[in-house]
Amino acid sequence: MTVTVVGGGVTATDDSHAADFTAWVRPHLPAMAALATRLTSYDDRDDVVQEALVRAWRRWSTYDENRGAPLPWLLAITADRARRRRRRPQLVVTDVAVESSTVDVDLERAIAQLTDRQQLAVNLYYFVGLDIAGTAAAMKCSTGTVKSTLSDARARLRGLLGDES
Amino acid sequence: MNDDELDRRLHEYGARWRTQQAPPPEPLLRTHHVPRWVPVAAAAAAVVLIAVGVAVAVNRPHNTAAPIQPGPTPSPTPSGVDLTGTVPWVDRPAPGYTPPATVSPTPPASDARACTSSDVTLSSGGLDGATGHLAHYILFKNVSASTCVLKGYPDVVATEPGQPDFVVRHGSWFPDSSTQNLAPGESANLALETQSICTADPGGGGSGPTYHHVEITFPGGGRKSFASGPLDAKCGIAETQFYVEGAGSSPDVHDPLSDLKLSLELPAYAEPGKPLWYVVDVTNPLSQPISLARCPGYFEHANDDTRTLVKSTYGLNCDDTPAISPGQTVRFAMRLDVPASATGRASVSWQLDLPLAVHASGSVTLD
Repeated sequence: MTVTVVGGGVTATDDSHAADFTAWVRPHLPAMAALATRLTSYDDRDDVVQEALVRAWRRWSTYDENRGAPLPWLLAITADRARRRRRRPQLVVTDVAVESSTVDVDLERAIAQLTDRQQLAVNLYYFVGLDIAGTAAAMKCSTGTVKSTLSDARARLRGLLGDES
Repeated sequence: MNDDELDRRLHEYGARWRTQQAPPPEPLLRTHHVPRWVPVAAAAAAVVLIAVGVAVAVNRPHNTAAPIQPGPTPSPTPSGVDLTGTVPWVDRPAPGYTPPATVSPTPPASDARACTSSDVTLSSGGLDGATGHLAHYILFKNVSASTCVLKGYPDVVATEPGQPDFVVRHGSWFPDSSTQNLAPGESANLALETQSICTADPGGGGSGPTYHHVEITFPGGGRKSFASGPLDAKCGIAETQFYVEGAGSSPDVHDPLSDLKLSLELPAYAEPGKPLWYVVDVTNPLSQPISLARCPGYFEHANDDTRTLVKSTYGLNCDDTPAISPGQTVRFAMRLDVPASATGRASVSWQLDLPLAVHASGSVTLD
């Protein structure tokens, strides 16, 4: 896929370095937006992604592809920016992006009670849709740690959900 | 609830959650503009701006009468785009996605007797989703003592107490691969597809009549009921054919339409309350023609500084453009009705409705 931005007085060729960065991050925007929504709120999503992109742009020269894929690197920055702004409500039923009728309220309520680390693992693995290796790279830990974190999170969730139905 | 059940619940809920997310913001390059949130120290650098989020969708209903043409070809102006030689825009509903025809080099055997309803048990195969399309998979396991085959489309009707039955349409955006004979214990798949954005609800959001049961009539005879997950019929319900994972051709068939390259020609300015005419340049970078016989739909999205202005789907006008030659660029005229209340700067995003999205974006000042 090639993306060319032309018109409106804005051209990608004004700064090829910036254009390269835009093309580089574009495939990862959905995952960054999803994680930002999960860790903060839908209202804060775009601000968090924006801050993450500005930070990623400034640190792009330090990115080393030999040390990992772009997505975990970008998601780690997104998680960091979300943590600094974190004011996610206990429930997300009011989020514009999600129809309240389809929200699993009990599950969301239980996830909100997990530790930050457990929530990050759950959100990266189940909601962003990364595999274990990708989740580990974004969390800067081993795959074994991710598996045990997810296992602990599910055990906690089962306890928290124990009273339903 | 055991660990496996919770794991499945999380996977299914996560997949459903992903399909309901609004498109992510578009990065816009502004190489000579200093946004308010960038520290002065970094002002000299080119920065990435993100258009602000989605709150209200303003939709334009499709006109079922004669196609709307852009009218007399406007002359180029400082604030306009030259539409000379463009393919006229038409107000046409987006067609469903049709995957490219494929030929399996070694078709698997599928000559067994047809499975009947009593030969199989049904179970949920989970959910999968992408770009507003959601697949609800159903697994059909052969529990009989002999080999049989499930192929073609079963007749599926969604039912719900107090609601009229809903007939599931044959043919889905999700690809299906070949089928093959099912030995005892082997399984075939079927996907029921729902959508969150469509012609009936181009802005997305909200839900239509929801069904929790389907009646499946088998090609080999017999009928079975299945308690499905919630099926939102707002945008219709479609089905794949029966297929077997890994049988015959790969389900990841390459669609040459996804090789097309896009760019937008946007005017510098657009006037709120009036149509914005712009052009999508569609280029074939390959050394062979790309057919538009499977004329695709497209998704158009625009937002200003505060909210979504337009989020719509249409069918491309391929009437006089059966194919795009190697190296050729075809310019398609596009119309976007800018709400009178829009202000600031609008980000416009345009993408072909394909499993592998081909997409371009740009921006225009509203003045």
